[in-house]
Amino acid sequence: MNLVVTLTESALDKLKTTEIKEEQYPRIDADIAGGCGISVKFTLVFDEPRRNDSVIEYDGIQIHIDLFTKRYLDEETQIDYNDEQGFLVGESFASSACAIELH
Amino acid sequence: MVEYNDLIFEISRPGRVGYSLPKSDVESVDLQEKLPKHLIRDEEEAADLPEVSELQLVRHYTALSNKNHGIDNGFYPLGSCTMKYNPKINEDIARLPGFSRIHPYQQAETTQGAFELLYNLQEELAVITGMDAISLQPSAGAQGEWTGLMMVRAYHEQKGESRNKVLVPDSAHGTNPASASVAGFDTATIPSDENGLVDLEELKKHVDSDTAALMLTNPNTLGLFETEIEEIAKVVHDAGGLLYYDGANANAILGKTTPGAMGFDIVHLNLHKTFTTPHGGGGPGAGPVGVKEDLIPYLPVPRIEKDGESYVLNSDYPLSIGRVKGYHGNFGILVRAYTYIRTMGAEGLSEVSEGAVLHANYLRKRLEEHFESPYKQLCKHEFVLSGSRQKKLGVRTLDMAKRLLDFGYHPPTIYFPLNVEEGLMIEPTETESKETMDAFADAMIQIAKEVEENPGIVLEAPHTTVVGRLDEVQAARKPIVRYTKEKDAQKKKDTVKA
Repeated sequence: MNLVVTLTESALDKLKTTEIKEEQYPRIDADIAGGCGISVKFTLVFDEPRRNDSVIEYDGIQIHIDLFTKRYLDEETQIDYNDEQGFLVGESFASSACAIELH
Repeated sequence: MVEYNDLIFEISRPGRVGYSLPKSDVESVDLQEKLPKHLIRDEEEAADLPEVSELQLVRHYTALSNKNHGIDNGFYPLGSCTMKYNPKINEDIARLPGFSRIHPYQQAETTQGAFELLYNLQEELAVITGMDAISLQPSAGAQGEWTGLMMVRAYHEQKGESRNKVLVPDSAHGTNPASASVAGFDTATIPSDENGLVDLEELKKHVDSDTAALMLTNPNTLGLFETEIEEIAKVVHDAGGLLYYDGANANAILGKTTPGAMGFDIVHLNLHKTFTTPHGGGGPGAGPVGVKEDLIPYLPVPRIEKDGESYVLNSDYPLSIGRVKGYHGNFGILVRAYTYIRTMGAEGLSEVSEGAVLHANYLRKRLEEHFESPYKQLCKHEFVLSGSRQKKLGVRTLDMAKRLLDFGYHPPTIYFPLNVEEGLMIEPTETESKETMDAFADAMIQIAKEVEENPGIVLEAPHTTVVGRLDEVQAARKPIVRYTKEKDAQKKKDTVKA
């Protein structure tokens, strides 16, 4: 799958003005919550490269995505930013299958 | 045997039947002629039922059942679920005609034996939980929670108080805040401290005159016992709130302590966890609720009571929250739980919790150097590891869970509790042998090594199952949950093209 990541102007501005530690890069990461079914929320974090990362370059910024996260992303993913909610990445989703924990 | 991997609709053939009837000795009539037109369904409206022979039907469902993973065919260390062995004697007793062939509408005089069993079970669960009375009605844990919370509401209202807040620690079961919301309460989350226990100072900040109850799971979902339980109980009681005990993890405390001794007012048990009645596949379960004396008037009705030598149903409790389940709860499950309690005895139940705790700690020690172990103290019946070390190498807990399928194990509960990054919640239960636990530990250790040396095998897992990794994104975003003939026809066309 060809993954296309786009950044809104506000997201791009924020990324360009954010101080990032040496050896760290912006990363789209799948944040998973489980218990009864799973929900996947995409976030933008700053951390070190992982072994199976894909790197997407957008306007000079290198965005890392690991293989696991890539599987869950839509083909086109937009990153937006606002001061209240921070970075907003793609479309999160929840699995309705209640198969992990029976209570 | 390929055809038995198909849907039953796909092996259906028009006119094929799975029954035979004797030749009719009355003349056949044409319903098309005899019935009014508006009562006759045309082909498009007709129910699209599969048409198969008896043998096809048997093979189809047997093939399906063989694909299932259950406690009878493999290790099932699903944290918080207590997937322990369900002794077959429970099934023998539940199938006795005196239990299986009675009807809840029979006259009470004719079902005294069943009522005696229910009464005795109530009495025994009261002793096990340290409560004063039990209702067997709720059909599972979450309904038990809701029943308990409705009693909390009724109790405060009877006292003329309006309390709307239920406190839930972040290490509680996910159903706790959900049940509180369904019962009409607002919930507030109490964070855990660095040891994974309720942060007492945070609790004190949240407790006030609006606090209706604290819902506590003990041991919590990290498998840790709340060492400050007496202080927690005091803080809530001093503010006029009630204490609700989620007994889903009771497997760790049987015969050792009771929620009553810890100061709790209400408790539910999951008979389908602690008391070896089967679960998985959606039930049925049983979630009896116990209460201390002050709350007895609010218990669901009818209550099963002893009147002299007879057992009777009593609905004469005007403050009761009413009936929460049809008839007398899931009776067949209650028979199985009663059988378990009677066959184990008090000493046996005490040994259950010793075994459950010993096994969990054994497995924890075998695995802790291979995975991050956020809480290093002795655990109770389950423990939580973190896949954060593997995440840095680009492999997630979900990948490792899928890889475990290749070894024939059901994975542990994953990504729960929410306060542990990439969590793996493991509960071996007391019914597993050391050999099984060692083999599982070896598989987990091998997977940890694979993550370092050959991550591809983990990332692409499972390799040996009937189906490989499913497209969970597609399943969540574009679910197809209903079979239609048109889709079947399209699928066949696509298959031919391919």
